[in-house]
Amino acid sequence: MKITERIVDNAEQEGVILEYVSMSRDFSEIKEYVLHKGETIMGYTQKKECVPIRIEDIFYFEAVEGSVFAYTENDLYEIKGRLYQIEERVKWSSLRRASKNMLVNVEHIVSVRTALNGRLYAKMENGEEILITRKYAKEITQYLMEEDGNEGI
Amino acid sequence: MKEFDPVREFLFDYITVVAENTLAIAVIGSIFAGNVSISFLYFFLPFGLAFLCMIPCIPIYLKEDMTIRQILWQRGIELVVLEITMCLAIWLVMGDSFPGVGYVAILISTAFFDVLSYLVKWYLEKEEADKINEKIAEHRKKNAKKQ
Repeated sequence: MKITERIVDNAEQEGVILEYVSMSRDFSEIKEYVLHKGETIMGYTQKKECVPIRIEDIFYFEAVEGSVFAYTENDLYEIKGRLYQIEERVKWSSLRRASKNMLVNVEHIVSVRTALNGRLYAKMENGEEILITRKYAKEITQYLMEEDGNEGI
Repeated sequence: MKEFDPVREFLFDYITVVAENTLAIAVIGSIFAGNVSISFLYFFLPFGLAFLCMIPCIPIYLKEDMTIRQILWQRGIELVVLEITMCLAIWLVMGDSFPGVGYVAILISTAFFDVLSYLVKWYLEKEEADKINEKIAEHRKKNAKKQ
């Protein structure tokens, strides 16, 4: 895989050109990374401080009694808005519905185990387990089982 | 992973229970009460019995967020209902001509096939999860190399 670098005159001309035979998962990840790198969402810490949270650092969003919480590796933030609004706002392909009250960042899943009746328990990088209900298990499985493509990068 | 269709799953489980009932009634009945003549209408008995046994399991197909423990309890209740209805049906059909050891055989065979059918299902789901885990491990290894 070759990399071509070119210096441009101003910030408006800055960008990344992707050249590929087919849009493999690798290229799709690079594209998403370029488009959303550094994208943040505002959240409130337990001390009610408003802070930006990098979307890629969020393991999952959970709606509990009308409030939405974002869980990172070690922290918990309250997010203003409804879960479906966050789902519409945050356009990360790895962010998928796990249940009617949960959105999971599939990239932070370490392993899965069966929860019977077509459901899955997903173990996250921080050791927590979340339930993927049968309605969404198929979609998440398809995402996880997607071929990486032949072109290694 | 196959999409979970509650109706399809219910029908699949229903047919499994019908098969368990038929096996218990036909095979064990012919061993222990082979000389008793009963009406051909009893051919439909397993279908009715299976339906009765499936009633306590309906929440499993409707509720999404049951824990594994709750599912196992529900399945356990189904098995108890199945055992009771089977013995009751045999007693109503055969009366005292059916020996006590026959009831024991029915209890064992029903429990065995019921548990076996769930073990097969669990094994298939576990296989699927193992495949996904392989893929996740592969993907994470590749990402770690990139970094």
